[in-house]
Amino acid sequence: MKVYSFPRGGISFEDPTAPSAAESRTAFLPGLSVIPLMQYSGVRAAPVVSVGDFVKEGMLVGRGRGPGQANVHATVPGRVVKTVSWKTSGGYTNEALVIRLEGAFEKLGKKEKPFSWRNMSPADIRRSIGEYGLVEMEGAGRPLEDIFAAFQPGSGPLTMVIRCVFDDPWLAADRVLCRERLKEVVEGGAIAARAAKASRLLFAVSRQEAALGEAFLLEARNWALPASVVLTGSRYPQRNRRELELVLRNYEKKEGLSLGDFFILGPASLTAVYDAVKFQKPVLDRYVAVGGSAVKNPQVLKVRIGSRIGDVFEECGGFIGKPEKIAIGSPLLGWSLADLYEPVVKTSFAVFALRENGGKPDGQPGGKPGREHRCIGCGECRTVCPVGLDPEDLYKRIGGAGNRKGPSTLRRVAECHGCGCCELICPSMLPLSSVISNAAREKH
Amino acid sequence: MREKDAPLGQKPQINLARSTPGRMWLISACAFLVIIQSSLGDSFSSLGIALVTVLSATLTEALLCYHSRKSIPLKDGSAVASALILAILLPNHIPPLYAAAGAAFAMGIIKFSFGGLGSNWLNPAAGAWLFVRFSWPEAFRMALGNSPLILSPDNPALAFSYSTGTGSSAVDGLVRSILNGSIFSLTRAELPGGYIDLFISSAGGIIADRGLGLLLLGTVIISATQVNRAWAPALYLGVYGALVRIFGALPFGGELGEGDILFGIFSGGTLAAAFLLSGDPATGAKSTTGFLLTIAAAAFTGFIFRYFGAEPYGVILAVLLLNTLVPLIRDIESGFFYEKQRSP
Repeated sequence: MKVYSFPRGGISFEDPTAPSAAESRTAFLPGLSVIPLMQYSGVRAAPVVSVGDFVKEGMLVGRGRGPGQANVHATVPGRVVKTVSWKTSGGYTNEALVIRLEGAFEKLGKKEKPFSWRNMSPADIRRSIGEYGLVEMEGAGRPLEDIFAAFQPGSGPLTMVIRCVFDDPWLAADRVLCRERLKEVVEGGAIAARAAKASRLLFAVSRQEAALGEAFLLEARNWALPASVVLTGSRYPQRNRRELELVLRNYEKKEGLSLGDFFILGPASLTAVYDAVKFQKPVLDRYVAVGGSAVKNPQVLKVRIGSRIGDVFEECGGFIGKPEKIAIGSPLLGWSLADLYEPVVKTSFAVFALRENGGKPDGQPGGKPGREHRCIGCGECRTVCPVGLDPEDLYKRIGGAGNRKGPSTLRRVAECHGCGCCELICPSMLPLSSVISNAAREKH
Repeated sequence: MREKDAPLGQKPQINLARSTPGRMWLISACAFLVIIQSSLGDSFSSLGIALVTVLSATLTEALLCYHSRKSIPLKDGSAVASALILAILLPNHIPPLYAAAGAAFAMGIIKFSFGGLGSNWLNPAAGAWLFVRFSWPEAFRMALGNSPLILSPDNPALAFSYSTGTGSSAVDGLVRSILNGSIFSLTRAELPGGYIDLFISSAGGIIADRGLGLLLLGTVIISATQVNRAWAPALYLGVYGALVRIFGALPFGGELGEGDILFGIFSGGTLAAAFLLSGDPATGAKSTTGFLLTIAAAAFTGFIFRYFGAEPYGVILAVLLLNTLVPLIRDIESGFFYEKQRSP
């Protein structure tokens, strides 16, 4: 079977400190849950409960009030004991409800009656998705309701793309999820396809997971939608929208298909859709890859949203020595934690802790960015840029003394999608991607 | 639908590259190996040249930084790397004062006046070599002496295939017989005499040619650790070797296809030019295509200068010539490859 890859740039990344994708373990329920009222790049939801109130498992505790906001739900039953706020590494202040575990679970361990969604209209499904506060379960964590609303396909066909592209070993949680909840991923895809009015399912699967693609196809026969698999390369950032679309267009051309527009979602988002629409359940937990050179037993855990990151590391045996860096997301693209009390949120597909110097020699995966040096013009940033930009030149124009932010510079800056490849391989440790991405945001 | 994939505050948390100082010190270590090999056969004259260039380069850099109130970047290793590369491009018997002047020129004029590390489009070591070569041509010629490593009308036999064997050493004979009896006999080939001597030469010449054995080891280390793009020197040597094979004997009265590839590659500073100078990405083109073309052009020009010109180290001159075109090449590349709007 032909493997489709994006044409230029990218990085092949292996990391022995990432957890194995072979299996998962369910973490202990947290005694105290920290439920943030804001998704990562969104706007804070309005709390609908107060300190002292008792909340049930899955109960609405924060209501989104429009675009960029998602409803927030309690993930454990208990009492709201206080509200807390903290400054995130992204520079904004977040607020959360702290819930002390009390009372009985109404969903956990109970056999639930599935709801038949086949008779639901696309609008009803989208409403349900909005009501349960579903967001993209990685990256910016945009509310799915917003994505559906903003998506305006052309008059042609529409394809629902199930993105199982594992270009990063830190996507171990998604890999485990695909195996353990394969049926739910496919049915979630079918539900999302109905909500988006897509006429076809397309499973974009990494080449090393070809067997998974076959299993998806087998399962997809249960749904009255044509389905196919496209095998993709595993070079980072293959899963990014731009690189994935390049591959899908190439596949469309080679196979003589007419795929039309693409509606792309990952497996974690699709199981959330499944749970919300079929079992009227908000996102209560998620698979999280926990690892890094400072963690004793890296593994994939099924963790309640709101569990504190410190507790999650404890579940994995704690730290080997003092960690130098603790962050959420992948080492390739993540954000540092202010402290270990920050909670697991819907987008936390991985958390990791690195020892001093990453516990590795300089230049090995797990190493940490060190002191910046002068650019030596080696051009490696140009070699790995998947967009074909000149990060060195853009960085010097934006960040240099000349501050040459002309229209042509800003236009090219806007093309950067922030994959971070240039910054990852810069021998002078320059914050190329960060500076360029920030300039792009300023432009917007 | 267009989106920004990265949420606010999200950025790479690790760095996968070998750091700039790491690269510089690795190159320095490889160059130092060459100097050590050369020193063993010249009563440590090569080592003296290396020490003088390093001292001169670091002192010049320190003084200039102190004068302009900049922090002294000695730890980045670039001054030492440039000094050692310059040292291996110089004859082992060049007067140390000239070597010191060359190193000061590399740091003060080529590197510092262009704005420091990464801003110079001329390779500092190659530029300093040019400065020494043409400021004191007689001293340079005298230092080389009547080197058997130099391809010249006085030494026409070296241009021809299988003709370096005249007067080969006992070590050459021993190693050659072992190789011919084992590896080469499998393909019914035979290594003629003299080539092993190239790797253990104690004759006069530039230090890079005298320390060829360890230079070869250094090039392997540099390529294996991805300090340079391994395909760049491979392309250089491929183009250069093909030209030598096809046309290399013509200037010396030979026929097409009689040129001696091995001698062409293992002398005249060719390996140093291929691995340390032409493959230096800091003074090369921006794009892969541009880099590829300039490498091929450097190999071609180097061959012309060395075989059809009067300069036995024409390969270094050729690199410098291409370096001078770098600003123009980069400008063209910017417009051609990097200024265009892309889709989707």
